[in-house]
Amino acid sequence: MRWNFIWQVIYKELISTVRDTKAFRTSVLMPFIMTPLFIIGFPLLFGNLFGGEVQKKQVVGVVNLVQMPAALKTILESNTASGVGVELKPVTDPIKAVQDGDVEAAMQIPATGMPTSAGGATVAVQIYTKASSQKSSVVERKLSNAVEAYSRSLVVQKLKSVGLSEQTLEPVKAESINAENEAEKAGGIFAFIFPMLLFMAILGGASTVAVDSTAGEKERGSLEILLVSPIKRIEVVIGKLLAVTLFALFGVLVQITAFVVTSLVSPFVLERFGGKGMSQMTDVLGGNLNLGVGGFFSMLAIGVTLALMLSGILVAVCIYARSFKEASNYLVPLQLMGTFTSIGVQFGDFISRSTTIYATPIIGSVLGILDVVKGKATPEIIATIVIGNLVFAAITAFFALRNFSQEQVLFRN
Amino acid sequence: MIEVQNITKRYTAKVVAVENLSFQAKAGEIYGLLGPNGAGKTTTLRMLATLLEPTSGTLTVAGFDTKRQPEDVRRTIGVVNGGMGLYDRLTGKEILEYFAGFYNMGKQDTQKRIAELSDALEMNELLNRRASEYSTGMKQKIVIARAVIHNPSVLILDEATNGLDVVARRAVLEFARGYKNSSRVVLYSTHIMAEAEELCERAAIIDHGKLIAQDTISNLKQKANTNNLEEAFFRLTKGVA
Repeated sequence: MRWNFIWQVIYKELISTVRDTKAFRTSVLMPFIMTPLFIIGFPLLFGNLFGGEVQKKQVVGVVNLVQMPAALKTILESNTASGVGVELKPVTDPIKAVQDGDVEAAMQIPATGMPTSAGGATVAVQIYTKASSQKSSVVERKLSNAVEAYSRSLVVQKLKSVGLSEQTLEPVKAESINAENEAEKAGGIFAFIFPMLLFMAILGGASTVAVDSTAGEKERGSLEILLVSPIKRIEVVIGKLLAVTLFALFGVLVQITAFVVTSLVSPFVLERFGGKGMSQMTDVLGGNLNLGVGGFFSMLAIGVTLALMLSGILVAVCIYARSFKEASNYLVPLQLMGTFTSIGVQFGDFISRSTTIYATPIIGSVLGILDVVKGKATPEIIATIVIGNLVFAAITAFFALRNFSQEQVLFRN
Repeated sequence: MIEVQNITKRYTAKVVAVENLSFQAKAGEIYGLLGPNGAGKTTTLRMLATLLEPTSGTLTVAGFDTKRQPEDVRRTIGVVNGGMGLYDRLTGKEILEYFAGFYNMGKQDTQKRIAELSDALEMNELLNRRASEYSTGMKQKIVIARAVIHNPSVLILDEATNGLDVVARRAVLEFARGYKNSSRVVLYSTHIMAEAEELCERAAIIDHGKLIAQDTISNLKQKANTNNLEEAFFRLTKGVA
């Protein structure tokens, strides 16, 4: 093995890629655009939209409005600390009114009227909303809360008339307390974006070099000329593999930096520009990173070995392609695999964790990054993922070398 | 200098690119490998350049066996193929230095050789510009310089004038003519008979992977009873399936 030859190949790929300023700038800028978009942009957008909807006076259609008790009407129309009331409008067909968009929700008061005191048979009030609409869910909550408050007021009245207090209804109540650690709270539902963005950053950094140095060289005809020189194929493969890995690692570093910077900035931005629904939204979505030194190095270890493995796959796959375009098509399934796996691990709580699953390529890394984000990764987990990635990196490197040695791969028409 | 003995290249049971082909090219000559597209010329040259292995037969270049001593063979040859194969984001000088590095040429020797070639090919003003800025003719100069950066004793030109204008084409032919000497051989593969007639002393005509004839250009024309090599080519290849 002649390391001076290998270094020459690496150096040429580095120069060539860095001089492709458009691609290089994109791989640097993308993490700094995508990360704030997810971590700050989405909570800001959804929080403001959600908060805006709560503060809006929606129009609600009511069948038999005249039968509605005055007390319930007052509750529905009045503003509270948690949101403004609704405007009531008489309708005859509640489903049609909601479907046509005349009203945002509707409720049906029984034609026989509603009780004004507790003790009789339970009377149902139907609420009509569009179940899949987020806007409908806001008004649905307002209506249910109002009916519940009216019902409770009747019960309280009844209890008082027999000399009992309101607490008689609730001798014991359950209180939920979030037992997540700070990292888990910070990650929230949006924790899956960290492995997803890291995966995309690795591919973004590495795929340009991988495609250009394999299929691109084939298409230009320069690969044939390179292989006619005294360099051995194993030296060409190692050189290209290391060049691709360097850019993949660069992607890892840029992405982790983007995570850290965005997480530091996001609380200030969300507080400054967030609406009334913001705290509720950020509590649910999370999307912040709370990494200690150990977490940082764990994420780096997973990122580096994942980069090594993906570089092997990229080189092995791209050398099959006859052209730049064909190689780009080959990479689509790999990109989708990373995205879907990252989204899938949102349901990671249902996956029983084992050494095998952590050692599984891509899935193990994605779960591991999620564990790091949630502060649950142990040294054993990290070691399993790192060893698994290194083993698969060796396998993919072997396939890359094998493909470079096959005439039908290098010279297929 | 180049000895090809009974080589066959079979890609699959049905696809035979070259069949039982033999020819020899000696030092001091420009030897033509003539045939239409798909005749098996490029496959033969790729076997000579150690990129492909023959299914059977032997090839030796400057005394080195392509199968047993592929690296020695590669050190001995320079190749210009149909495509330009340049790295667009590297300058001409960087491209030449990159390839010189694989022949273990020292820094000084490399710079000296680049200067020599730069004068010979009149490409001084090109060297520090990126290849993406070159015209086709300029690219061809760098391609030739790259092929001979290490002073190979065997220069293989495979459809080297493809897509070139008349001036650039003339420059390639002149370079090939000037490159041969008593210790070097130029193997010139083409489907353009006029170029072969102008450049080569001897040639092998191949079609459908088989050798049709091998002789001096004048003898080939004589055999076909014509004064024109293209006509001779048609007459000699007629009836080959």
